[in-house]
Amino acid sequence: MEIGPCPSIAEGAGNVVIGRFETRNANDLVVVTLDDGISITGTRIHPVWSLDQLDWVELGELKDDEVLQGIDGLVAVWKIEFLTASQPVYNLEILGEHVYRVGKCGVLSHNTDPFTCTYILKPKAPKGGPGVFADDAARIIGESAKSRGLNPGSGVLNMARKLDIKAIDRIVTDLNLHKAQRRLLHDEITKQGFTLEEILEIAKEIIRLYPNK
Amino acid sequence: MSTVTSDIGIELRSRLIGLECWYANAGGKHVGSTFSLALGKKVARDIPLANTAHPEEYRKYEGEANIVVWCTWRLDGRDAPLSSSDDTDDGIQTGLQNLIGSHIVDMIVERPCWDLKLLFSPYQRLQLFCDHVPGEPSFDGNWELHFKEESYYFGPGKTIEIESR
Repeated sequence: MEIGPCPSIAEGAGNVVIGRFETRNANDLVVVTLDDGISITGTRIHPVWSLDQLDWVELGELKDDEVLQGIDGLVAVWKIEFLTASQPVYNLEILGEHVYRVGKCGVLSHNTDPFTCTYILKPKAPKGGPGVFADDAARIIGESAKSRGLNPGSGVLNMARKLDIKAIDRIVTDLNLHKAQRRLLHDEITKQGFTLEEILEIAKEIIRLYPNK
Repeated sequence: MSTVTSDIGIELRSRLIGLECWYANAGGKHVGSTFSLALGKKVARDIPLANTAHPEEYRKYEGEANIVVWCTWRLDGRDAPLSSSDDTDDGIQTGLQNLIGSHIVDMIVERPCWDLKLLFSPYQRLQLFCDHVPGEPSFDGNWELHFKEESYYFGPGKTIEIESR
């Protein structure tokens, strides 16, 4: 093996790509078609960020209508097909957070090696990029349903609300809020239009003001 | 609604009957269909709430008893439902306003998961369906009841925690 000089690194936003991997005849592939018509083909075990589960989820484990994090908002899974034929697949290794965007809509994806993967690296929901807003989630899920001739109905709102309460639960869990502090958080965010980032700061302030609660 | 199916239910029933609902707290971004009710006498908070969307009274005082609801629910009037966790944000806020000025006249807590039914006068029935169960619940709890001296946390599932405040 020969070690050459470090290539020049372009200036600008974003993290540096430190590896590109090609698997020439990958098996166990899955094609995930999103509600914008774009398809992502990858190995079943390749993780993408699910806003329904607030966790990294393998492509092969995604469900119909599951909401993923796109670069400009939310995208919903339309259908999933499992391939029997093999074909080449590619992966990237990114310096730092080891995440990158896939496809035209920029689905948040992870480059973790599945054999050493612990899936512990999670994007902080309130930080960076669009948050999980019930209104947005309802719109995406609703449009996805309509595109298939379905009546989105009130179930759309319920799913979006489940996302909301799960996002709050995530903040409560991450900051280890006591139950009494959790109640105060509810009082401090109701009847408002706070972003998740603002709610995170309010939660920190509650911990500061009510340390013994 | 005269059946109380647990010792805790009997104790809480005796403490809640007769209390008047004076504030219903619901709505807002990321709050979903969760809400809370302030009941009974007004008890001064140690630190007023910072949230200016609430009236000053609620910022300075909480109820003698306070219910916080994280799970699925429905509020019925005598002839029709008034609102539910499936309602729009406006519908939820409007529906819950019907409880203001009403008094609790009966209560049922049902095992194993602490489903709650509260009967109010003038007639309204609030039902909580404890749908958060152990595993990976949307939220780590179904409903809570806070008094000055202690708090009761119901769920997920059949769990119950009682904490001194």
